[in-house]
Amino acid sequence: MYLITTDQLCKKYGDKMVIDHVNMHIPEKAIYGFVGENGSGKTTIMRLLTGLAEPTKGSFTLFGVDNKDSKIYQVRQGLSAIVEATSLVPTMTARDNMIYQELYLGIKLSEEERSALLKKVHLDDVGKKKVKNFSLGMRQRLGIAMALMNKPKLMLLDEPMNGLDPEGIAELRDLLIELNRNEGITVLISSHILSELEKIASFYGFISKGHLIEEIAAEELQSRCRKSLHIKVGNVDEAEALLKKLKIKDYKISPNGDVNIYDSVKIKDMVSAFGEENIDILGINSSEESVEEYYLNLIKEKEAK
Amino acid sequence: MGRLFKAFIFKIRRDVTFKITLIVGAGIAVFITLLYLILQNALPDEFADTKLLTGPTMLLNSFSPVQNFGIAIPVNLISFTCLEFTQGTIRNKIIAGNSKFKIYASLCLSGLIFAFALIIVYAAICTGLGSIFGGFDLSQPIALMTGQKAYIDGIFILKYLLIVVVVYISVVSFAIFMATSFRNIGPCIPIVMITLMVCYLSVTIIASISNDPRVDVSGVKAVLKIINPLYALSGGMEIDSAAKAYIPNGTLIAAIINNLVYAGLFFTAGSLLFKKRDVK
Repeated sequence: MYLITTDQLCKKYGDKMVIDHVNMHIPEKAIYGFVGENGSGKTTIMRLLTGLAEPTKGSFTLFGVDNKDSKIYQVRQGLSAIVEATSLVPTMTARDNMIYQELYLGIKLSEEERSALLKKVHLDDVGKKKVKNFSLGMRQRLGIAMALMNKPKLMLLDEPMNGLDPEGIAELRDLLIELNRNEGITVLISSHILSELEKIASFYGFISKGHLIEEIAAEELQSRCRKSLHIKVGNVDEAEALLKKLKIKDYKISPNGDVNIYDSVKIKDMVSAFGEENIDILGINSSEESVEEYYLNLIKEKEAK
Repeated sequence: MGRLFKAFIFKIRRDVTFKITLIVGAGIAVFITLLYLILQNALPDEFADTKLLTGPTMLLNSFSPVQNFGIAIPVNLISFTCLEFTQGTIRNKIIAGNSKFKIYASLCLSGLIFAFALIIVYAAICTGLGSIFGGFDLSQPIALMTGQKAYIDGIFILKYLLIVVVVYISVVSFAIFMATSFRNIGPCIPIVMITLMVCYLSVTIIASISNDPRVDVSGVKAVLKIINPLYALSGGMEIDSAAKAYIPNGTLIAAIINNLVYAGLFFTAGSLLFKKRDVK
């Protein structure tokens, strides 16, 4: 079951189509990594889904309810979102911000529940400190604690790692994994830190210039990311002759001595084969195409079309 | 809508600006009382039997939205509403599944409570201080700011307070409409204040001209009565031959109708605009 689907979703600002016929599918209980360059339309899609902006064309469903259905307001109560920046009242304390949110959410947390949420994001010691005196990271963490107040089934997080230190990023990553695995919360998360997304995402959506280029499960993506064996050699001609002799088909050799083999081969077999032919190996390592490289290649392919 | 209203009231109560405004309001009330005390001592001899600083005088002079502390009310409302947009807390309410109409309606409702809370506190302090210094005796004539002296009664005060209520409803609707349209304090405050000042001055200028029997401004007054929401509050009272001040029923009805029509128009336009425009 999909918690979010979009159907030919479009958003136009003036003459510029910033979201262009996007068809997105976010499965229940997924951590959906939303990947795209600045201005690609990630935030705009989140703004459309949360009701902050209205689609120019197309539609979407949230929990199976169409965006034009009056029940959309009711189902939105089952989600929480941090879009662009954490919205807080700077002149209030963390607890007062939480109470303020409780009031318009129509919920009532006990003092213990508030403390537990603050503890979850390591803000249990802020006391009566006003939010205006918080660091960016503290504000982000408070925003995340507040996003958990209504026990959401779906969280939309736009660049939540911005402003967090490496420790904070790791904690957020662990928290999202815990919420996803233990409480079944579906997460739509965009981030520029693709290496972090790689650690948590079970699905990916790649977007560029308002077009959704591809949606892919993390497992499928892993299998598509090409593994290679990189060997630095002294003589490229001899190396190429050897690869042909070994019937290796998928490889690339550059004149400076870099040999990349994409066929499935073992390092020790290659070392022996090069040794038997007296070809000097100056360096050797195996590597794998990252999500970032995959995304960049996708964009290149799209632009080439 | 109730939960949004409760949330806005919570924010207002915790808002430091609201507390500061209340303190400033109390300070202005004391200052204005002292000013009236000084003015009373400077009154000419024909006002020997008339007190300027009394409870009723202070009550009548403390409600104008364009005079004394009244100015602070639209300014505060604009600031409160614009901050909801700039701090992003209005979008939290949308994300939380509240319809934009409900958000706008609860913003207006809490704006009204905010405005009445401030002006009632201010008027209560002014009236209290006026009563302490000059008593609250309706059998004595009071000096009006128009330079005339007159008697007022309970009916006059009730009619006046009714006008105050409808005027504040339209002023609040206007201030929130402008704040929701601009979402920026900068241009919003001058536009709202200039508009209110024009409404107020157009009435007071015509009222002072009409004191001259050679000039007939009855036509202009009739038009102002219909189109100017501040007409009744600023120049709607009349004095009969027995020196009794009264507010004609026509003026009262015109004030109720035009203020509620303006409030309805601004509310409708504001809620439609808020629904149509994206929230950043």
